[in-house]
Amino acid sequence: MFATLKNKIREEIGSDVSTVIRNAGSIRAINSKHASQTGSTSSVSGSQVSLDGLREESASPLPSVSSKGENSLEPKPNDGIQLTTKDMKKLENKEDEWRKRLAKKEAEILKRMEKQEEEWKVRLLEKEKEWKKVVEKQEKEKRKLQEEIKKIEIAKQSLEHALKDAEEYKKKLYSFQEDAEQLEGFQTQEMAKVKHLLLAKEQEVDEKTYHLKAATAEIESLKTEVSRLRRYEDELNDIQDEMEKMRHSTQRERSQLSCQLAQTEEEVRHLKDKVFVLEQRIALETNDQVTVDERIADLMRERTLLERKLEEAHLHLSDIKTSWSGKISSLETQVGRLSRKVGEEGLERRQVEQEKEKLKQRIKQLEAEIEVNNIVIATKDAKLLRMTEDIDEMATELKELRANVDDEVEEFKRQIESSSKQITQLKSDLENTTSKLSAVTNELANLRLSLEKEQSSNSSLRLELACLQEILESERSTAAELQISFEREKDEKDAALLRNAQVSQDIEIVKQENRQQEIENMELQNRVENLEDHLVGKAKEVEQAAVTLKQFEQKVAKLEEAERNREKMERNERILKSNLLDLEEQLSEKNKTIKVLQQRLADMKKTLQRELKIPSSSLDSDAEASAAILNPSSSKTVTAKHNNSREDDVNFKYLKHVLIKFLTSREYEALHLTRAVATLLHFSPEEERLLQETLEWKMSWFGTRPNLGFGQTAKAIPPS
Amino acid sequence: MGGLLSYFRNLLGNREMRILILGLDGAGKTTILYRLQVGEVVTTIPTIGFNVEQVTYKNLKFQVWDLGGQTSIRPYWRCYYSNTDAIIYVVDSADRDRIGISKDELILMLQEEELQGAILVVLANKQDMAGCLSVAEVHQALGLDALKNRTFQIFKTSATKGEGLDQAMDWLSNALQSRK
Repeated sequence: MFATLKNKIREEIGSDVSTVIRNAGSIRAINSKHASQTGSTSSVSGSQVSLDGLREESASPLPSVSSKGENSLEPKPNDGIQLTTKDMKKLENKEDEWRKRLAKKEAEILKRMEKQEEEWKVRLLEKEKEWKKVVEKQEKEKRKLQEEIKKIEIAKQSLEHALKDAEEYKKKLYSFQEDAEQLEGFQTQEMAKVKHLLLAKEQEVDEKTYHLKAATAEIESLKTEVSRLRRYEDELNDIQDEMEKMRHSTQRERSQLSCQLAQTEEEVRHLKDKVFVLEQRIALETNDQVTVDERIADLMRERTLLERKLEEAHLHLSDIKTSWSGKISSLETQVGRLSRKVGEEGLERRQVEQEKEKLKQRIKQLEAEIEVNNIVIATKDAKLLRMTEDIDEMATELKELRANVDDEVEEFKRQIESSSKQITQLKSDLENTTSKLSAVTNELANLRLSLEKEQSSNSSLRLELACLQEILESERSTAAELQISFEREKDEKDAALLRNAQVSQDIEIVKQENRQQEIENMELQNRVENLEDHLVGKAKEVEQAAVTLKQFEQKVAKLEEAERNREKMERNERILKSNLLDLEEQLSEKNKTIKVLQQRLADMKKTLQRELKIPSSSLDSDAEASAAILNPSSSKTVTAKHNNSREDDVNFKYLKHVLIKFLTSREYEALHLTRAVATLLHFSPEEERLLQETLEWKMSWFGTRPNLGFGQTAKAIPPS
Repeated sequence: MGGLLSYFRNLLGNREMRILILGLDGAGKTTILYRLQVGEVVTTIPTIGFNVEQVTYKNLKFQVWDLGGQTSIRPYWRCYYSNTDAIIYVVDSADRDRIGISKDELILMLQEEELQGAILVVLANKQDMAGCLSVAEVHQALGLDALKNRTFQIFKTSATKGEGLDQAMDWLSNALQSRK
């Protein structure tokens, strides 16, 4: 390692390090020789020796070389221990030369050292910077890599999540498929149910239609029967009527016959009686021998007989009458019976009609039922259609759902595939990155190693540099010591010169000071004079101030008096202000009362006006004529006029309206308006009557035209 | 010609009933008239003059005269009183201030000789308004208790909402038919 350093140094300096050190060693030897010669500088040389010793200790590889150098150089002074003045001079000259050389060398060495130092420093800094940069870069890379690792881990986690999601999706998919299958099963079941229901309904409908048909057929048969029966009914009625008639006629005939029989019997009896009577008479007549008395007696007998017969006839008549009454009563009862029968028949008819109506209603009901059934069938059909539509819709929906499910499944599959691809990609990426990471870490390790190496080399270089610096410092210290001794001597010489100069300067300074003090004295005297003048002025001013003070005191007294006055005034002012406030309050109260009174006044005015309104208007209108003439500028009359004109306006409008209606309406309506027109136009009763008569004349077909006057007094335009 | 027709109608005995609608201005007479005739609420302006419409109610024909009720033309009412079969007197139930004037006008009208045989129907109108007088209050305010020798009836109505008019017309037509 040092070999490289040496080489470097050689390249820098251009010569071997050993020679330089040898040179340095020779210088040291001279120093020590000189010290031994002079003696005065022994202490210096001693110190140098000690330094040398130290160097030998510190720089272990060099001592052999330096000792050699010393060995080669030292014999010379040792030989010349006893020297002459010439030698001394020579030696001095040599010493001088040596010194010069030494100085030169020192300067050179110093320069070189500085240069080297700087260069080394620069290099060191550069190297450090470079290393730092390299370290930073690597650290950055490291961070990046760590970040990448983190990212990758995150990606990995996300991918794992995605994988889990995909698995869940798969599960869901399976469940979906199961659900779909279940739905299909349900649908098929429902379809089957619906079909079953449909079939049942159709069967029901068929049954219903069958029932319906049967009912209609029944109805028709019933109708035909009804119609047939109606005919029979009529016939039956006819027959019954005929029968009744026949019965009646037979009864009548029988009664007639019985009557005739009775009559004939009676006649027969009558005739028998007559025959008997006549036979008796004939018998009597035949017996002409009978006397008048007998005849009379016969006649009497006959008479009695006849009377008796008459009585019998009367009795018979009464009997007949009673029998008639009985017959009449029986007839009445018969009539009652017949009427009852008629009523019963009517009731029966009504019942029959009711039954008919019931049957009709039933028919209607049945028809309605048929319609209802038809409607039901229609609704059923509609329902069926709807159900079939629903089934179709459901099937389509199922298909759609299936398609959707399939699509979703495909999508999920695709997603899973893509996610698995992504996962594989990411895994490969991860592997790549991990491999990269390992490579980078390896590089980092290498770099660290190199860094450590470099650092170690750096530290060795630093050590070397420190050694060199130490050497340099020792050289410097020796040089500094030499310079110090040199400067001390110079200083002593300069100090003497300086003392001399100082003394002379002191003398001059003292002289100047003297002069300045004199000037200052003068100035002070002037100042004293000025101050005395001032003092006099001040005394005067003091007197003046005393005078003014007195004046001020007087003024103060005056001001105090004024202040007292002011206080008094303030008190007065306060009192006045309080008075003022009281007065203002009173004023405001007064104002309020005034307002209240004004309001009351206004109210009173209003009430007065209201009360005076009706009479005042009438009064105004009454007094208007005279007032208008006397003072037309007065406000009252003007308002009254206004009112009047408004009323006139209303009246005029009314008149116009009524007249228009009167003129445009028919006579019949116009007749109702004659009174209104007459009142409005202030017609006299005659004029009103004329108007009414004219209207009536217009309405009537005949009648004379009312007298409307002649000439100037004519009320109408004469007909042309 | 129209005269002839009406003459014939008169001859046939199918005479139209003549009805007057009276009342203060703004009571709703014109609104009631057109509600009866058209069955709708029409926008009206103050009647200065009169309106005559033929109203058919349950096969009865009425010639209804709606006379303007403003103060200055109220005196002309009496010009229309002759041959009147019935009077529909309309009162604004919400107008508490002028109900007294309405009463005075009603009493003045009923004193007329020509109206002694006329049937009176009082309509307490505007019953839909807030704070209006009730039928009993209107009855009392018009002093209808003191009314004697007069077939009359009071109804609460709202011409704008068409409430109560049918009842009033029912009663009136029944009263007119029973009187005939």
